[in-house]
Amino acid sequence: MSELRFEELRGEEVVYAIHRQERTFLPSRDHCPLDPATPGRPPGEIPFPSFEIAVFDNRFPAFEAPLGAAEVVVYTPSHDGSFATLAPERAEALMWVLRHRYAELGARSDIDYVFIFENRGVEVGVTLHHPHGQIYGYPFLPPVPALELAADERLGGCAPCLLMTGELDDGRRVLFENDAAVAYVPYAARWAYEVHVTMREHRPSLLDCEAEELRLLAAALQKLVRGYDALFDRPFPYVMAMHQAPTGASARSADGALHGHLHVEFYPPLRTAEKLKYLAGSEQGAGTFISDTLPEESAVALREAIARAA
Amino acid sequence: MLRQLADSAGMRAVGWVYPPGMTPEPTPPTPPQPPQRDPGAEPDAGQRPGEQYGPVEIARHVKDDGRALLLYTHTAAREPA
Repeated sequence: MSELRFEELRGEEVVYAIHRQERTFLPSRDHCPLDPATPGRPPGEIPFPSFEIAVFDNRFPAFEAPLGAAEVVVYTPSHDGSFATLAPERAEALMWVLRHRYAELGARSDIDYVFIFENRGVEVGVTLHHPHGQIYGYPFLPPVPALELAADERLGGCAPCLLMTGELDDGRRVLFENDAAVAYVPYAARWAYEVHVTMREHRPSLLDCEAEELRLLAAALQKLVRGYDALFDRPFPYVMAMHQAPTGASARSADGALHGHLHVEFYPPLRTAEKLKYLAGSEQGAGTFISDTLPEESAVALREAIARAA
Repeated sequence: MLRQLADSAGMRAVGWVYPPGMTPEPTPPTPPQPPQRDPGAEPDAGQRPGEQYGPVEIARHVKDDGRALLLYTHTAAREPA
């Protein structure tokens, strides 16, 4: 069971999950716990010889009932590949799976925020290479979504709506768009190749999306990741963070409106093909990112990479 | 918590569905049970084994150590959002 301690200086929770020290770390291919059951191999997490998409409670959870949740989402039985190489139908189905998890976890009284994310690449600390994502059900509203709610207040409306509209008006950092989503390098991107994929209509969460919007969101995310992989002609590491409406007490504003706007943020740690961006003194000690890449230049490179990958 | 399942109407129980081609090996799962839920939460279709959710079917299992395992299978059927 994890322990929460409140860090008074920063005003934020810290989670102590010391059992995670023992979690599986970069196993050999023959010992991947996310592979389907295979005769002659150690049993894994999914005791079936085949499956399409699997979700299970994390064996080494940061949160667990009755105070939160931690789930693993296995995209495919195939050990190789990535989200980008899934068949379009599988990627679309994955959006429905994530929507289902958001609905179920968000309905729990001990969960205030459902956070869907993917860590890709050893550069961001991945311990299992099999294509998968994770879901944390936080028993509190974490700082980043809280800041997004504060941005709504500061801007006097839905911040993602306003920012996306501004990006479309400007155009220089827009990578592509479809009828449901817009992908762009944000004006004040912190990471060199940070991209936000924002729903064109105001959709607080996956629950609010039409079926066609889910299909187009999956297509947009796959298109972006394929472009990422083409940028330096290598699997591109990133953290993918899906931001949606809180599900707890902060879900609604005083007038009853539902907070939040579904968007997916990508934080790639690479600043060149071989160089990583480290969070060092200014970022960690002062909370201020120092970037050596202009978002407008990154957008040009990414648009070219996305075109090459098409 | 309570954004109750806004699209609960999109959940349609279809009875227990075992994903095609799946035979329990090497460790057979225990019979399907709903995962641990808040007893104060209102019941919803997500608690029933074997259900359709949009274009996916959900099969619920409980692993030997008690952890929930959900298997999702893409189907042709599609519910409106």
